Amino acid sequence: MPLYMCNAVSGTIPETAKPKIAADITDIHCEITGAPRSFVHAFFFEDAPQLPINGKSVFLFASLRGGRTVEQKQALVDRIKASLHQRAGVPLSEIVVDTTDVPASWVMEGGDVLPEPGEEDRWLEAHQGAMS
Amino acid sequence: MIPVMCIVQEGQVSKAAERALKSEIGSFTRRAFDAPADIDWIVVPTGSGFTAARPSTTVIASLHANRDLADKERASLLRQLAEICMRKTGRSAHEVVTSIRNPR
Repeated sequence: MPLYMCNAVSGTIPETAKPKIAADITDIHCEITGAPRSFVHAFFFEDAPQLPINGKSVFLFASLRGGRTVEQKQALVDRIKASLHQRAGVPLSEIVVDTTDVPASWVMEGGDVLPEPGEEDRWLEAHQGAMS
Repeated sequence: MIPVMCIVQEGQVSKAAERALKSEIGSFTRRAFDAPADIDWIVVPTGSGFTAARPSTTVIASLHANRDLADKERASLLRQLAEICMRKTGRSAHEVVTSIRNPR
């Protein structure tokens, strides 16, 4: 967590762009929130029925640990939309990005419940060997 | 029914392992929530899954409970679900993410 799930109309996002967008999402998320990179998952799909695109070209749904501010979430949305626009050439008007908050205590990774935002250091210390 | 979303990377889980994992998750939801699982099995295509901006090997199992859970019980159930995923997919704890949410 976070989990970014990007659904696009088939062929909209070139294969070569996906690693670049995933790197941008990871950089943007970590820069804005201070979360560790190892927490960031970015998965791409085409025409996946679970993530309705609703007439647009790209729908990106982000599950975020709760506790992020409105400003942080808006910055995430704006910068990730810009990445999709720049890397895949998708018009901004064709991209929808939505976020949902999930309490850290509802998620387990590495065999432990995730830390609250800002309390990652101790968690990472305990998991350092396995995460490297 | 307990809605469960399982996300795996393409080529990561054999059909036999998929059947075994679904079966065991079904047993888990019956035991924990007295309800069968409604599993949405989602495969991330090769070259389309990334963790820490590198090719991902992550397995995710996420479900909505049918009752509110206290932290202690939720943590125990998260651990049980993670152990099922690890055992059936052969992935390590750091490749398995589990989430148990309160009812919608």
